[in-house]
Amino acid sequence: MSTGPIPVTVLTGYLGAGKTTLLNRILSEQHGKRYAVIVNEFGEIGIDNDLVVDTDEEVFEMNNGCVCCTVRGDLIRVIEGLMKRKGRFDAILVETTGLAKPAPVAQTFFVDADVRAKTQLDAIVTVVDAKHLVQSLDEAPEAAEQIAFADIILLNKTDLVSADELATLERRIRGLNPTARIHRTERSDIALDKILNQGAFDLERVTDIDPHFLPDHDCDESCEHHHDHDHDHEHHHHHHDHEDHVGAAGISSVSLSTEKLINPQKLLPWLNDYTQAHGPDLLRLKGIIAFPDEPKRFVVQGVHMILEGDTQRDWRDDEKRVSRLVFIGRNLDRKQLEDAFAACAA
Amino acid sequence: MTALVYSKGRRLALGAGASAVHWIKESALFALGDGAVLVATHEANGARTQTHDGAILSAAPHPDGAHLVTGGDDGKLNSIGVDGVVTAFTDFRGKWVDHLVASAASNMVAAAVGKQAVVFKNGAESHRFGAPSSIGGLALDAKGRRLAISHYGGVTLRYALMADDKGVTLPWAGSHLAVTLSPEADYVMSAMQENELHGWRLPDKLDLRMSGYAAKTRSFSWDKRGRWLATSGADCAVVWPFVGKLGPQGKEPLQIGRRDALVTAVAFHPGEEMLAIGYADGAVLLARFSDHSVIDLDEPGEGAISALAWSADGARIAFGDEAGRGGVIDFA
Repeated sequence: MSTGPIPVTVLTGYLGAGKTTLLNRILSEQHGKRYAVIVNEFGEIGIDNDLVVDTDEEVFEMNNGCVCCTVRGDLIRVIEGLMKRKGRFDAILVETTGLAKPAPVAQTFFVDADVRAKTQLDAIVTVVDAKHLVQSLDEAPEAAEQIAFADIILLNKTDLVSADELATLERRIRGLNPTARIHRTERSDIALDKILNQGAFDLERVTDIDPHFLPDHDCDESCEHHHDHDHDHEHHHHHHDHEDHVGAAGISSVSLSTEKLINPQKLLPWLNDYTQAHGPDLLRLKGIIAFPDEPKRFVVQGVHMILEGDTQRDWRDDEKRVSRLVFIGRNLDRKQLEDAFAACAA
Repeated sequence: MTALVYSKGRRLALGAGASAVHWIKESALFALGDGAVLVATHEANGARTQTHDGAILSAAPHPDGAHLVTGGDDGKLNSIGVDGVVTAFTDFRGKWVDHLVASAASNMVAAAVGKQAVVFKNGAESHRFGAPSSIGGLALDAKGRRLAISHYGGVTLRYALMADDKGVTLPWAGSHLAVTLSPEADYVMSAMQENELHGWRLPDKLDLRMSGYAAKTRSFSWDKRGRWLATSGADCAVVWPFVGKLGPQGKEPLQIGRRDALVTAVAFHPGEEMLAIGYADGAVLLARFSDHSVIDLDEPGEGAISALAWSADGARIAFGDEAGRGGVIDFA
């Protein structure tokens, strides 16, 4: 019987992207792990598994005055029930519907104390249909949110589009989410160690939040982290004005970095105030921060108004003490964020 | 080694976490997370019978007084006797049976299955009440006439046996989970997602709010006369007074058995003003109101107390925890 919290992997993706194919792959591969599976659309799973739970999506607002604080009541209920079977499974997979909003799913694992005590959200994996991505982004805000929230993105059905189209699609995805890992796949075929056991919400395991660039990319909106000087990034920002940061459904990302050490007395109140004021628009936030006289890296992450931060491992000697913050959300004011971050210098 | 389980009772290895325990005649029937029901008396263990293919999620004493009704995550509703013989009640085809209540007084059983409360009379399905969301909890009054159904956005109160009952809606924003009705059906109290209680005085629906809990309240227990409501969810049993016109409004609750562990289960003695309290660390205490005395029933163990029940005559108590440790004590 395992004693630690049960890892939970959330599979999202717009209709027809290949979620169920991925789910079936996970369940049919010989990996020695037993999964409990929570689905919102029954009947598509072809694999015999006695721990498949079908449940209707129920988004509950928390009655605590926080407008963006929603949880999935069905997940709370089902996870509580599954825990009575503790020892019968090693991990949980949650497959959401194509139109599900990812925020309530993610927040459930932080807001509900019982769920939080017994499980650990491992990663949000979003499957994207390369052929229909552009269309789905135009059609539904959920499609953009699913990408914006992802830790891992499977750019699937790559056999149906050209290399040029793929590069354009990846750039579009990067505009929504500069920090997720993108894997190109056909028929959702991917090594499971690339999507499971990622620890994406584990502050201890935050390694780097460098945007992952295409080998062939030319500068895009999240480029400034390459450049050590403010004037450089000013230049690039200006240069790329034509490539607007605002992506589908008004979602965009802002990546900030500085080599100046950061004053925690300034940064933490600012992040708190910012997430309280902009929580409904802020989808995700990640950061690695260098404080003066602090040998350890400070890591921070957020989902809407939920903000967590802690010191982590030591900065390595060969590691530049660069502080980075990435915001993903709606109506992000880049200038305001840049100025506020700059004002946090020690 | 002062806990009463050593001198007047015995420990049981349940073999799985306890979902519920109820006394049927002289036996405690433990409904377990591996789908089994273990029958145990003060003296010895009886049958341990596989009753469900999966976990037992809910259980209630059958109105006939001779069986335990069990609901599982296999979608089945079964009935089991002290002899371990299982009878199929009905099959909801994979839908979880999340909650069960039953009344010998009105000879009915109600099961919460997703968004429906399914009412059984004389062992057969009679009718169903729909809820606007998945049902968070069910409760009956002492006569088994009124059924409280909690859900997202409030609680709905029905006359349980009337299929065409329109119901009384008690609205309050948020997700309502465990629910309880006072014995005389003059108060409804529900536990909310936000670690507080919301209640209504009937029939005027006056709102009551009780906050300050550290966790969700999962366990409610009324004393026999309906003067006290004991609740779990804090580091002591929080016991609200329901006397006078305003009930607990503006009154301080009793705070009994404070320890360094959350209270996870409470059960009033069926006759006396005595409260059994189970904790997240597995300990069980008995607190007597008259002289404020507290007796250790069992020591901390490995898991939170998840099942706690007195026998109808109040002479015996049974308890079980999430880690599979149980106990039975005979006070005689």
